[in-house]
Amino acid sequence: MTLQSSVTATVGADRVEFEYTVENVGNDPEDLQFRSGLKADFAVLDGDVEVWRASYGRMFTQALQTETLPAGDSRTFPGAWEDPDPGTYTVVAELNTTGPDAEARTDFSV
Amino acid sequence: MLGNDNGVSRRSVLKAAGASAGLFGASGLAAADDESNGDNDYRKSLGLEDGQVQINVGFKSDRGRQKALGAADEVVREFNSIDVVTIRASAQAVSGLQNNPNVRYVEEDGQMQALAQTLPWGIDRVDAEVAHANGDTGAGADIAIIDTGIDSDHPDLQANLGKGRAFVNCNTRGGCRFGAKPADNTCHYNWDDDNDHGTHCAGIADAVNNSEGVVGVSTEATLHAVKVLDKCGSGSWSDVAAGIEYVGDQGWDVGSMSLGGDASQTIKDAVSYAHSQGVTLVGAAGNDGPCTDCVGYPAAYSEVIAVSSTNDSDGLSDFSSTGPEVEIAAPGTDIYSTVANNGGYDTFSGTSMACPHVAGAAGQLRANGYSQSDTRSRLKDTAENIGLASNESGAGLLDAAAALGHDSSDN
Repeated sequence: MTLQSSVTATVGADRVEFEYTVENVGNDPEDLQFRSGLKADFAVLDGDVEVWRASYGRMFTQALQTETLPAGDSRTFPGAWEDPDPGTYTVVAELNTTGPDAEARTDFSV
Repeated sequence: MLGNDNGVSRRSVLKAAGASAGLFGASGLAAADDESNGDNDYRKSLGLEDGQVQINVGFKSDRGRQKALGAADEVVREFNSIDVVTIRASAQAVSGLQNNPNVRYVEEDGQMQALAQTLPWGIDRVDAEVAHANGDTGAGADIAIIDTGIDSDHPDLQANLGKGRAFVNCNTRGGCRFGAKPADNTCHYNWDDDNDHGTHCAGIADAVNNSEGVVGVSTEATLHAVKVLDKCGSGSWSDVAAGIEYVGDQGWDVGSMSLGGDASQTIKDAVSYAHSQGVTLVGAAGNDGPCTDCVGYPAAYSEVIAVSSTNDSDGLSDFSSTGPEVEIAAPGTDIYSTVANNGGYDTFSGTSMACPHVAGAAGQLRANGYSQSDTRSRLKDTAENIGLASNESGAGLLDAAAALGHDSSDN
């Protein structure tokens, strides 16, 4: 796998918006085989404590879905944390695939 | 060969060619032979001889009509109001017609892929077709598909559809937070399927036994669409719980839950209630495999029959979750079934596909008078040992025929 990932956090008035990007930096197409209706997930950590997770409180279809990411292309997944408490956090983003999780993380302050 | 001056524009003809792949192009004869011979069942059903094709000939003038009739081995249809005849002819004769200036177009007749019913490997493997041959259809049972909805006008499901109820409304517009694309379907009802997943599960459990598409484990049970997941394949715990509660309120026989996530007390309460109302609850073990002790919820709740997934070699599907909660296994890798997209068919993999095999068999048992608890024990008592560990397949692989008391030794 030749995936490169990154995540950004944009702090707004009453929400933090995340953008998780997975790029195929290799020379060949990559198949992403998602495990369920949940393709990518975001977790917000306060130190080691998880304070928010995008998928929390939801159920998902349990069928695989495959997408091909052509060489040089990227795929972006959005997320948003509503009404955050002030503090300093880390957001961790990852794919929910049968392959690599392409984890990316970044720090932000509210 | 394509005329522009007789009411059929070149553009519309080409458009039709793109849609049906049925028009003969310049190299149309070879294509015709390949494509029509590719479906021998279709050719047999029409009684076509080798080298013979059934074609629609659009003619420009009576001379063109005479030419077509002259080329025909057999005239199948003459239209009254449009300038078309349907004939059977040799490939050589077709070639002559294509080059005739009095002929507007030559189009291969038929929707080949729609004229024969496929027996999906999973239906075959659990010997549901043996049950069908013995007259078991599931008629009288009520199976709720707690999912993304069911395509309300799918030709392979429509005859079995009962009620629908939406806890999240059908909406095929816009994109998805989690990246999926909504189905290309029309929301005739708020419980219509805007994703494909629910329709796929419905077809596995209970597609109609007819001359097209696929056939389900049950074939005449009543399917109820309980839409709790949105176009993107996700739903809130409260919507899922409300759907399960609704199925309990209706007192339906079976609730099929091809969905999963983390534990939720609300969903646990709904599951307990529906179970107390007599519903046989079936759930997908989850797709976190390879992993141990990783069955997801609601399948992991004791009221729910947790179903793991196998492939066509009787191996555990590599994605299948396993654990002590698994009670039975069923086919889940590369399963062909109905989808909402244009009322079509597609191949999906997942414990989501294993679950409705068991739901369909449970429907068969409930239709035959088995109680909630007897249905559950009967499914397990008659499951086939395929050599997997108990945390992988529970009691073994679903055997619908054996569950119904038929000899299933054909496999």
